Amino acid sequence: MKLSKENSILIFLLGLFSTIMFTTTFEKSYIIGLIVLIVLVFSAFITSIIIKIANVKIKLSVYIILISILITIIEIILNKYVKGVYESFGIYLSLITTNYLILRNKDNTIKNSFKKGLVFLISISVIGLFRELFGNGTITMMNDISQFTGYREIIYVFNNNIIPNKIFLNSAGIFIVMGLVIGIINTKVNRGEK
Amino acid sequence: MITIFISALLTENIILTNSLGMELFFNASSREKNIMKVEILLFILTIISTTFTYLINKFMLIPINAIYLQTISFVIVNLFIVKVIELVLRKYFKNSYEIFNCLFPLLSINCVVFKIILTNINENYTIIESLIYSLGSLLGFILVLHIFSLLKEKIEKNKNILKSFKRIPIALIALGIMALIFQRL
Repeated sequence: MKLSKENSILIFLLGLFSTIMFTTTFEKSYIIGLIVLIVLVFSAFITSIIIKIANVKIKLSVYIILISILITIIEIILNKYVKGVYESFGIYLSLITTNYLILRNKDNTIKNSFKKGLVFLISISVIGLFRELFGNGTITMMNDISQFTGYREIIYVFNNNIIPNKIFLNSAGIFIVMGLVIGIINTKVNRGEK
Repeated sequence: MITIFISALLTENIILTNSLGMELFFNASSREKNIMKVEILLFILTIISTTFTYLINKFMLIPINAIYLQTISFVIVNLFIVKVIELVLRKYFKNSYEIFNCLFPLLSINCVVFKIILTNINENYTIIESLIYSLGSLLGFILVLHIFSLLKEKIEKNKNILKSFKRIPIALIALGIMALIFQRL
């Protein structure tokens, strides 16, 4: 598919797809959403101060290095205080530096980046909730962060063998489900336009 | 070593199991020639960056106990290599440079390359194993690109698809079915 013009919906979708594979529990998905939100807001704040001084040709490189510094700081903080989260993510935490949504956010104000991050947080937590509910039958609110907050809460919803189906925890299931959801949303939009 | 190669190619495919290369996937144009050039660029990029990052990790980061500097140093190395490739292309291959002009911001920090580099270091591969792993995952990515470009022609000729399911939703469903097949091979 060749993209002649990239609209913001497509950028958002591509940014969603690179982090969607390790949202197998609800808790992981909202932590990822929070991290992306924090990175977006802080990078918008710092670039609005620095970027006017930099030369035009190296603006993108400066921005990318800034994002990687922010993510390293977040990694170190997570490693010290909440070690369970850091170990359950593994290498995927460093992979947020290559997120397409953050990369295309170069010339935005703090308010717009906050809105983008909020939409990302809500959508990825809904996807994580759906995946865990139908894939595993549980909802984990706080399992790995329990060192920090002191709670540990896992809600068991289904116990049969039919509804919790392992396909939703797989990558194939999420592709098919997202395709169907986008198709259904398209029909509603087309019907609304008529 | 063969298990590393085959697992990188089929069962832990970068785009089907880890869903990471979607930007290049949607941006690659539909003509055969341009896909080949993107592949060759990616190939050169990963091989050079795996060797450089392995050397930097082994001889610079571990002796100083500075493993927390991994992401920053790999990002800087990647940016440097892409800049050098861009300058070489601009001087010697002017036709190709115009094709890639819109792709360079995307390639300068890329999910696929980054994941290959990070897994090489996390699992402590030697240099030969890391080269085999990067070859395997790249070949898997290229395989999925080619299969999908062949499928796309057939899908677009079909007239039975609903209007709202065209382009993106059908592509995602086709990718999902391919992922199911590849993982159980």
